[in-house]
Amino acid sequence: MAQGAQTLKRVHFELGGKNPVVVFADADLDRALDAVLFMIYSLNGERCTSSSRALVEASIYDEFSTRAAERMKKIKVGHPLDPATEIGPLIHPRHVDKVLSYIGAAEKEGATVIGGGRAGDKGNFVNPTLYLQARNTMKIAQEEIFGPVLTMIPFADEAEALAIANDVRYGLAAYLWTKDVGRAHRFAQQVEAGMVWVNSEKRAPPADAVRRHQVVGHRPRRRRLFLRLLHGDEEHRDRAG
Amino acid sequence: MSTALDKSIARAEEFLKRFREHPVAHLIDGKQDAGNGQTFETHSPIDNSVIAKVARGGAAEIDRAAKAATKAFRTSWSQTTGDHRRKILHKIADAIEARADEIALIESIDTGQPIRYMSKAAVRGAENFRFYADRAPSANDGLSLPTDTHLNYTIRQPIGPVGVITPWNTPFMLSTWKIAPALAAGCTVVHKPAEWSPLTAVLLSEIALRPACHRACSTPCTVSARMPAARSPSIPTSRRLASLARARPAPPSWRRARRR
Repeated sequence: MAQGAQTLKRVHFELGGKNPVVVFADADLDRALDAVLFMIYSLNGERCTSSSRALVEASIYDEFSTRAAERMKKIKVGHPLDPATEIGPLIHPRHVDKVLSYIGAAEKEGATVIGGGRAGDKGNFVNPTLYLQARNTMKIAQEEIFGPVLTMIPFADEAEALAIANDVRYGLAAYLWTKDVGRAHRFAQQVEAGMVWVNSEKRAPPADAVRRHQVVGHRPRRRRLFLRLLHGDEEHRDRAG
Repeated sequence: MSTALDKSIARAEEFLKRFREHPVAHLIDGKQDAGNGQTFETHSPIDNSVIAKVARGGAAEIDRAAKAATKAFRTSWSQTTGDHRRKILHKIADAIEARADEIALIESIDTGQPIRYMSKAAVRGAENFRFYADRAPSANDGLSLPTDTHLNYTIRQPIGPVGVITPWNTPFMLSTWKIAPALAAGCTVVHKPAEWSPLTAVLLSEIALRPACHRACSTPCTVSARMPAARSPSIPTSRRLASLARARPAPPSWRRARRR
């Protein structure tokens, strides 16, 4: 961008995210859990729109996080061409080092670490990781890790959830799970993200390529809201976990 | 033991053979181009073994590619009708679908992404081409703003060659997501694939070079470029830059590449 400025280039960036998935106690928790796991543990977690911060209402936090941990431990790490594999090797040894470095950071700041570490003795395989009892000020809640790593943070009420959701440098995507229609619209309009899905994992129509842009330090002017209308079983979803 | 995995590995090896045997060249102005002769290696995340050597571009290669893209823009692609571009982009989509298996296997090996997700990468890439193909005929449609005395209207015109820098995570799909709309609008493209997973970009450029996609052939110039920061050119002919990049931390090579 800096160099393009000299020749007045128009630029269009899609950058990173520390995207919140906000789970309220009134949500369909089975579907919410599916989506939370899918959006961080699929594609090796190497996804700009991954839901890497799960904000979970305090009243359901223990149960939800316990179920998430049980499911996460069953995720199959393996050869990328094995049809059973859910997480393959990460792109590069440098990236592995980066992803694993957050385990130390999480322990230092007092989060509970579940899973993680290298898998196998060659290649770039890592186990999925879940950080529990995290606070939003922690490194694991603020920085994009870009691996199969989920940071789970409790919140007390809607106002606190919104404050936590917006308290990051990023603003690419957000996900909401609630059955309260008023809250869904209210929250979706206030959360600072270029794209917001309600009761859905990411479903991006092709047109989004030209619409989604949200950058560090830039808040979105135009917001795309996606409200799931159907919960059809006809949708085949390859779930992670 | 011959499992589904063994069979997939054997198939992938067949597709990878050409990359193992011959370094991947740049594609500039529709022609293979070894550039300055320098290469870098792309590795398999499965065991970090070398899959292929890939041409390492510099300022000169980028410059040549941008000039070729500018020429293609001015002399042919921007002059085509939207309907013509629509047909060509659909043909590209057809060809992507025909090579879906190959694209999926190479993508999976080059990135480490599980095949259960990558098996859909080509289909989704083709879907992107079709979506934008159908918008090509109305790409120049602007607004009509009549007043009492004048008929005022706007038109939208292709801006020119576009530099597209794509990331390593799901490179094929994300490349189509940037390249297809640019081509549909009548722009030409200089594409810089990610160094960590550059292989499927080669397949995309081959598809665009097929005779059936002839008019697009000088358009998507694939350039695997890593430019020295101090000498990176500001290409006056490139008017727009589209990037899917991570904000921070970015690998140093990305920061360099972004300076186009």
